[in-house]
Amino acid sequence: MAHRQRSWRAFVSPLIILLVWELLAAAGFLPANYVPPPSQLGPHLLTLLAGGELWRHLNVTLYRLGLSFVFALIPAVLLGLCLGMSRTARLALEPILTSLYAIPKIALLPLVMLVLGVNERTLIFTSTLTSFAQMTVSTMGGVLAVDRVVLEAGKNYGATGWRLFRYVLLPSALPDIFTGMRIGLGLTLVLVIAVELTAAQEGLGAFLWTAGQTFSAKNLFSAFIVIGVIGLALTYGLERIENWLMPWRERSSAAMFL
Amino acid sequence: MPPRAPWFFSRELTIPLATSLVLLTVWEGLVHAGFLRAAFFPPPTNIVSTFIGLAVGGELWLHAGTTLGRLITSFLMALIPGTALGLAMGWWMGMRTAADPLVRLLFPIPSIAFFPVVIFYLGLSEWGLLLTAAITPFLLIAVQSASAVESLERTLLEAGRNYGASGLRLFQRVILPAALPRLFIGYRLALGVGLIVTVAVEMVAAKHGLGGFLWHSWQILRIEEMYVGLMLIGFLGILVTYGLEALADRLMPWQVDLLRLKGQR
Repeated sequence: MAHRQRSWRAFVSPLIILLVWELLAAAGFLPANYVPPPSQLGPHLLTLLAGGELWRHLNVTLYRLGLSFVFALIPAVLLGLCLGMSRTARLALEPILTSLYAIPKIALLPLVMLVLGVNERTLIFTSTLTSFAQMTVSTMGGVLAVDRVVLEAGKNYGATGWRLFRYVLLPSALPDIFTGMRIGLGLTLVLVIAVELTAAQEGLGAFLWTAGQTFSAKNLFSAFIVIGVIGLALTYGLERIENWLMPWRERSSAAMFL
Repeated sequence: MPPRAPWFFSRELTIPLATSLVLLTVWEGLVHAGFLRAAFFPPPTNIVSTFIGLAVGGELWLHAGTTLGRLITSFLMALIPGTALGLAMGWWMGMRTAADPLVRLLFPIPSIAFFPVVIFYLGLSEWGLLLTAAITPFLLIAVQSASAVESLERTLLEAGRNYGASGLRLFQRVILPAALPRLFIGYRLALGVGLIVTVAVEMVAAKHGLGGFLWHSWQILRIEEMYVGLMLIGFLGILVTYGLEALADRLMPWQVDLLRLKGQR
């Protein structure tokens, strides 16, 4: 990032907002049971975490997120590679993949609940579909985007079959596969929270929803902060890892979403 | 040279069409043969006839129209301030220093998590739904617009200035056309996110709209209607995902190759 050398600046405006928020609360403009000030929110969050309740919900959500992602990973990458390499397979599966990729996966929740019942498997399977669709499409895109010149060069040096795949195709497609994983994980988090809001008793989404329904502003904000931190960690943590693994890759903020 | 096959015989069309038909036929056949439970997977012909019935009744269009209206309204609520903030962030250093950290802090928060917070303050109102569906698209558009301005070719700006353009003219004639393709990428992605949030929020909390319709028909186990809702939501998804891409290629043909070259589709 261009402004890394001045990273302290990134903290200025959030700190100002927190300060103004605190001061307004102290001056009595913001009722504490409606907009709890940061000085009350911090301790409350810690108590919730230490007391184990929020911790339990956090674990449930992370468990669901992790499983949804892991279940999708291998099939999605394998299928994406196959579809990228075979035009016939790509065209044959296009209608299914296109529909699955384009539909908001949360809309599939009722169907999955109908077939699998309302249980843990359903929540995880619905979220898995999100990771699966995203990673398949990104992997396929990565293979399709491999430079023809590189491919030809590989062939001219005598690489065929497995060797061509292992030493030419896979390394070229790897950045796109990783981008797919990152975006897939982000979208899956949205899905896990949405599914929990809709249909779960446990997990951060459910806790957040209950807090809102019982007008507990402190619980509401605490859950929101924890969910936000997961989102931040996924987005920027994975970006770091990606830069570290593939430093040759050109970065742009647009690539954050694509 | 062999004569070229007419377009409707091209493999791009025939193979996907054939697999779709085969799948639907197999589905239909398996249900009638008793291998698939009609209670879970009603035969496609039943779904189609339910769809026709609902479409004639008009109720379905009310739901579809509500969802589409929400999607468009929330998108506009995100588009206008998002573009303005993003362009300002790209252009003025002070604006960037102030707003960029906030945008980057809020953007990765899962969009749906804003919903309980928003309705905590606004109540379960139409505005609550619209605002929730607008937040993440707004942030996304702001980030993308800022990067659109940042990545402008300095040469273009200089050329514009040398030809005497400044202020509004420079913006209208040089900055906007040059930034448009990247802005459009932001809009397309924002609309996709907006659809996800709109449907999710409708499923949780709305009586009307396709999400509400879908959820309701699941609860009263009208499975064919559930599939019809799913179909329409899928159609909206395809429209938002692929339709806009095609539209961008149409509207800005000169920039397509540029973006492709940079690997940004």
